[in-house]
Amino acid sequence: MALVEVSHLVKHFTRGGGLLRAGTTVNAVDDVSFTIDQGETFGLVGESGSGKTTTGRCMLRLIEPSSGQVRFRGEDVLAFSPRQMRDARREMQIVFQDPYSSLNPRMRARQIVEEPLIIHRLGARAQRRARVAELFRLVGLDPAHLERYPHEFSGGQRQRIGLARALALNPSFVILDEPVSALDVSVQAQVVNLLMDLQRQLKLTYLFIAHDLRLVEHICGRVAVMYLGRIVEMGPTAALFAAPQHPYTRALLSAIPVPDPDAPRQRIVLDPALVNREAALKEIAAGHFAAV
Amino acid sequence: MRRLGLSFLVVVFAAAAGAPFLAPHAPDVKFSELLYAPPTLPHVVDDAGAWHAPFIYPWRLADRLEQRFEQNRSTRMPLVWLRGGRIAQSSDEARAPFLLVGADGSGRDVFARLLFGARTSLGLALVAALGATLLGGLVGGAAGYIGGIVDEALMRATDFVLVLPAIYVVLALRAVLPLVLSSGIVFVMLAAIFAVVGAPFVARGVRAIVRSERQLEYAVAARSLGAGHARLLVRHLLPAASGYVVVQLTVLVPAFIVAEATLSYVGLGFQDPIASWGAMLQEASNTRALTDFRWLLSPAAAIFLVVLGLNLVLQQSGVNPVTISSDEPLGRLRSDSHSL
Repeated sequence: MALVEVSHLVKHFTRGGGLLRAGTTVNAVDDVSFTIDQGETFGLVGESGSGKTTTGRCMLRLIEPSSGQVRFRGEDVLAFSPRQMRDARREMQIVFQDPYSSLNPRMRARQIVEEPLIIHRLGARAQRRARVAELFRLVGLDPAHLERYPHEFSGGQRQRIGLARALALNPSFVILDEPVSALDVSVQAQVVNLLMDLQRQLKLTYLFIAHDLRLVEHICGRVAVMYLGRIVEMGPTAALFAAPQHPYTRALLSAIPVPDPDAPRQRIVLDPALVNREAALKEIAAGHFAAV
Repeated sequence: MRRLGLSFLVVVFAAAAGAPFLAPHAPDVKFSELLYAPPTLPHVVDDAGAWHAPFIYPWRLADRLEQRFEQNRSTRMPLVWLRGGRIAQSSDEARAPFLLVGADGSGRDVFARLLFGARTSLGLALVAALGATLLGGLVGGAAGYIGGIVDEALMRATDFVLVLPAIYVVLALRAVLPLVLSSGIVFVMLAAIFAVVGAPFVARGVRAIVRSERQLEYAVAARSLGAGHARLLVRHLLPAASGYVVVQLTVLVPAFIVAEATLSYVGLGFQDPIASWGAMLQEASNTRALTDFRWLLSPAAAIFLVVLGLNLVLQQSGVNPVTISSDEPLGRLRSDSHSL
């Protein structure tokens, strides 16, 4: 059974506009539907502005969606009362892209990781402290550095702090919003390996938002490609990478850098005229959908 | 430098706290023969070169028209210590009082008034500045956090206060109150007026900071953890404004000390028997103070000391650990370029 079920999610932002003039509407997320199974890593890829981050944030109601449904374990998250939502947040967490702005610069690492425990009133002071130290070790940080401020850590270490914070409440579902794209390539690999280890260890379900396709190919079981607020193609990673159906997916895949400088390169440039914006997702092969 | 500032403040606050002990006289005792008498500095060596316990030379009026005094070098007035609960007095207080910083136009001890004035002036300025930051923080925080119509309404209200000609508002306010007010009521009234007048400056800055900080990912992260509005505001957003608020405090405190002086001058502040630095400076506001009675300007020196001390202490108080991080601006830039 699907752990998370997103159906017909829509978010539009109104831009400009004043007292007399109506603003223009931007459809950041336009009728997006997908499901994520328990224990799987579901990839959401697309270029900047394709709406993948907005989709993730709408699922946690960090941005209120305009319409649609998000079901978690069969329950409609968007219908939750504030109290129910607070409880639900113990199960659904998020790791942010930017390890610099996602940690409060005025709080010590210990306070940052301890905060979710305080908010949800989990354990007495001593128990919380012990849990924070445990989380620190879990994400590969030295508990001796608990009292440091975020700026005293490197980018990779900060991202580990953000991860420890997200894991503090023992969530079952974690949204990884480009968790490594702001890091150096060498550090990226370490953090990605940590994420995969933790997934096995803690039986986590991931929604992995990324624009680095090699990374997605490496860790995701299934993947959805977003373009201008819509999912244009979705399917098992291997099938989708082997036989991309949508012109945008093809263009995206052709843009993956190849480590061999002499390899023949065939860069496909997307012709917007080829994209039928109105096309619905059709099942092309088992579990492989494309809007062509 | 921080230690130096702290020591200034400690000295001033200790002096204010210990005023009844440190001052040789009550602040309202008048020596009618000694109007504008210069300071009587303690000596330990007399004209003959002999050593004595600390003593002073009494003043003798040399010219009543010019109010010029001469030292009576023939008489030594030894200082007596710890008499009547005061640290030092002259042996004959009635005829030759110990005036460490001279006397004012009514023949009152400037040193005693300086110490007791510190209580009124600093107390008022601190209470008013705290009130202004509290009010401003509340208004600015609410405006920046809630946004929309509330933001608009609150900020227009602060704009309204900002454009009011403060002095006339105070005059109008004072006009509706009874002519004679007790000093306690004057204190509360002035503190309230200053807080309201000072709050908009704080509110504007706090609003801007809260508004921009709440967009940052750490604020979003706090929400994703389930933090409520109060926690988000108190724990995350307002601390971001703390550096700004502290700077505002250092600006408001001296401004309020001076404002009290102005109001005392137009008769809206503290009335004569009550000593305050502002009222004392107002008495010194003529050219003769600059040339002949320079000791009357001592409240200005006291204000300078307090403001300098406050600045030195608060500048390096480590309210904001970010300021020591050199890579932080870069981090900010990154977050801008990556945000959706």
